[in-house]
Amino acid sequence: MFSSKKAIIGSVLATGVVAGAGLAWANWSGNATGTGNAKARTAATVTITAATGADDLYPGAQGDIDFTLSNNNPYPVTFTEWTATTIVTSPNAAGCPSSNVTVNDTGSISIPVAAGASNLAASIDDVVTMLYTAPDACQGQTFAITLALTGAQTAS
Amino acid sequence: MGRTTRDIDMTASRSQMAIHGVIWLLCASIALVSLDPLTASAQWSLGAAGVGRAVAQTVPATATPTVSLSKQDVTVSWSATTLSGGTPVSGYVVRRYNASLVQQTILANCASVTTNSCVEQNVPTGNWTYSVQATRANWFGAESAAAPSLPSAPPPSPSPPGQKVRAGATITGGTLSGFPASSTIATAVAGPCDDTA
Repeated sequence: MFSSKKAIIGSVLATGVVAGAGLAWANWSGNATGTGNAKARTAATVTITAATGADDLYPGAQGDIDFTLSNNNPYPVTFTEWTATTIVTSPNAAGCPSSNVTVNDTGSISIPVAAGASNLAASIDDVVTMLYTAPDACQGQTFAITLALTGAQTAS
Repeated sequence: MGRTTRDIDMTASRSQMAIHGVIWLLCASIALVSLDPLTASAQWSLGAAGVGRAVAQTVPATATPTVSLSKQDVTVSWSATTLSGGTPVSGYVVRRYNASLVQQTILANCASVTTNSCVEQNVPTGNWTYSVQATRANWFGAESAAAPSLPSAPPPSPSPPGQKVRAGATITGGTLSGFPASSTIATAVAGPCDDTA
C-alpha cells in the first residue's frame, strides 16, 4: 500500500511537470496557429522611421540607409531580409533627380529589436550608390528610400 | 481487528479516486503535449514598413591660401580640405585675379592641382590675388577668400642685343642700346668685350 501511494504521488508529480512544460509551450503555440487559445495576441507591425545618419554619399561612392525601429510587440524580433523600392530626393529634386542614386533591390541583414523597443537606430550599410556624374546640386541632398523588412519573433 | 466491509469499501473508493486522478492528469498531459507539433509549425513572421534615408556629403570652402613670391614665380599654399563626411577632395581650382578682381588665366603648374600647393611660374608684373576652390568630381566647394594682394616684380632687363656684359668691365665711350627707357644701368661694358678675360 505504501509503495502504491509513492507510485501514485510520483506519477502525479511527473505528470504535473510534463503538463506544466506543456502549458508554457502550448500557450505560445496556440497563438501561432489561432486554434483555440483565449490569450492569443496579434503581431503588431514594427514601425520604420527615416533617420538622419552619417552623410556618406558622394560621386561614385556607396552609402547607408538609416532609420529607426519601434517594436510594439511584447517579444523581441529579428529582421533578416530587406527590400527597397522608391527613391525620392529632397529638397532639390529638380537640381538633383533621384536617378542619380541607385539602391540594391533586396538583401540579407540581421537586426535584432528588443521587445517594446522605441526608436532603435539601425542602418543597412553600403547599399545606396551615387553616380559618379552626379551634379553639383546633389551636395547635401537627402534621399528618402521606401523600405520593407521581414523577420520573425525570437526567444526572449 | 479485522477490516470491516465498510473499511474495504473506503479503501477501494480511495484507490479508484487516485487511479482516476492519475488517468485524468495523464490525459491532460497527453493533450497538452500533443500541442507541441503546433509549436513547431507556428512561426511568428513579422514585417516592418517605412522610409529610410541616405544623405550626401558637401564640399566645404577651402581656407584662405597663402602666397609668396620668388622672382616671377608665385607659390600658393592652402590647408587640405575634406568633404563634410571626411572624404578627401579630389582636386583644387586655383584662380588669380587682378586689382579689379578680373579673373586671369592661371599658368602652368596651378591649372590642375591635386596637392595643397602649386607654383605659378613666370607671372606677369602686376598686383595679383589668389583664391582656391576644392572639388570632388562634378562637385565644387565655395571659393576661398582671396589671399592678400601680391605685387610681382618686373622681369629682369635683358642685355642689349649684340653686346656682352661682364662684371668688372668699364665703358669709356660709345652707345648702349636695347635697354628699356627707364632702366638703370649698374654695370658698364668696355669694348671690344673679351669674354675670355
